[in-house]
Amino acid sequence: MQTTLKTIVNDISIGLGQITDDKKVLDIQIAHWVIMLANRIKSQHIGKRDSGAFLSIFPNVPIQTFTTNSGPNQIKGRKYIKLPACIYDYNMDGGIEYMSFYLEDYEPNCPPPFTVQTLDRTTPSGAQRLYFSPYEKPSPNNAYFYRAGDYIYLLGLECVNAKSIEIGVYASLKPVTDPTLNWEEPFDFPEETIPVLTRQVLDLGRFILLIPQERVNDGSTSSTESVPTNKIVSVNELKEDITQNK
Amino acid sequence: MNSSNLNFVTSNEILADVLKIVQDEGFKMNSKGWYTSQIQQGLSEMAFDTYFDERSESVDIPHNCRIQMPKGAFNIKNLYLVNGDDCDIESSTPVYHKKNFINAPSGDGYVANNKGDNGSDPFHKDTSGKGGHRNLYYYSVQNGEIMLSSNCRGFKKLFIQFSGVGTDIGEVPYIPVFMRQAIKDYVSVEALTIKVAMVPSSELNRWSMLLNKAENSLDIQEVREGSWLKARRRIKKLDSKQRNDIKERMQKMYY
Repeated sequence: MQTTLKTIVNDISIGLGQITDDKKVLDIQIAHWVIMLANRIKSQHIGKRDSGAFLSIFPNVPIQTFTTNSGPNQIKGRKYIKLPACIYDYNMDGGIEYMSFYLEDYEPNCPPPFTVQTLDRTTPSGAQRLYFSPYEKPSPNNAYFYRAGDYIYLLGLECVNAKSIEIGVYASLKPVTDPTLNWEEPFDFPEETIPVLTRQVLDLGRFILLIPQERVNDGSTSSTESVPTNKIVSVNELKEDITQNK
Repeated sequence: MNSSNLNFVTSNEILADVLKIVQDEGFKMNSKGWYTSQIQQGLSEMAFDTYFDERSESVDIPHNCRIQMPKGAFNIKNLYLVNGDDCDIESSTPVYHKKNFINAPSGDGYVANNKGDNGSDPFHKDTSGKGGHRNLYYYSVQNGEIMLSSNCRGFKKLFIQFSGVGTDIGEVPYIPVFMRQAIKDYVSVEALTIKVAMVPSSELNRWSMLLNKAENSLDIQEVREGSWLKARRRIKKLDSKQRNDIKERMQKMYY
């Protein structure tokens, strides 16, 4: 049984002594801290090891085409898919583990498409170099993808009837503002690093609870502060004047 | 050393090893096309050094007697004029190289330093009265075009035996098994060179060490006995039967 977000939040609430009705820190605030710090720890964890524990595979992401240019990254006429989840922004789009495409005439006895009909990564500026080499020229046999924000554009599939993409990504945790976030579901986070996460959230919570009242701007000091009304004359300036008058 | 026609490995088999060495199994660093291109380039380098890729091709003789050298050809070994077809050669005769020979674009007439009928040329002897060159068939190559003398029109086809570049650019490479390690090392060195340029300084030592290891294993300068030199030696040791086998295999692949 994997730990849930609710378990972690309750644990930290108790640790911070925030369990009464007049508690200063709400559970939603603690959940935000947990997710914020968990994303950092989880991304480091994934980056350090070769594991499929946190790989999320979306097998049937539809290929679409924008009909108009609208806003940044929405380019008319180019085939794309929308990222099915927020992903970690690793170097060289490492948040995307792999991508493959499916054709209508796929034979069941052939190797699975994700092992043969794969897409390699490129960038919009790097794409022109691919056309210089007959071995790298984009085609259904040499298909590429490049990322622009939340959109993944496809290169080399312009002339084939590919309907959908299988994509494996390293997804970040859902934020507290996501309506689909379920606190009771297993928390998609490495169990062995939960003590580190708990400690970091407790440290953050303690620091915030330690902020003294007088550091909070309640507007009470502004009315009593004296405001100079006379011209302020520099002492140094005066001395210089005296020297020059001699 | 004996080998068979089946002793060829595919580019995928080379990649299966190389991708593990350079830790790029997901083609994150370079595309599959880039690796395949490196394999082709490695084969070409070996072909330029050893002429291991022997091929032949026959083409119809056009009226202007000019024929483009076959794709992938870099060294003509023999030319024959042939009547008949590839399956049934009725007659053949060799074509000889003639220095400075350039035929007219129409195929009629040519220029050359020595045309046989040299008159009082002090440097080239006049051989016109002794039959001279008139009974010979000859050729020259300029800008990749084989230019034939006009009397070659009496034959139907030109049979060209040449050295190939290992794998034509754009074709899927097949690698003779005895040069597998050399090609593997060649591609590894190219990929690791890129890797070393890309990795953060914290990983530089590890990858530099791997690059050094691959370079030593390949040893393309042939200072020691690396895989490149071993492959070259193996090719030299091939018996004629084996050379013919390779030739046959190559021809099956390309034509």
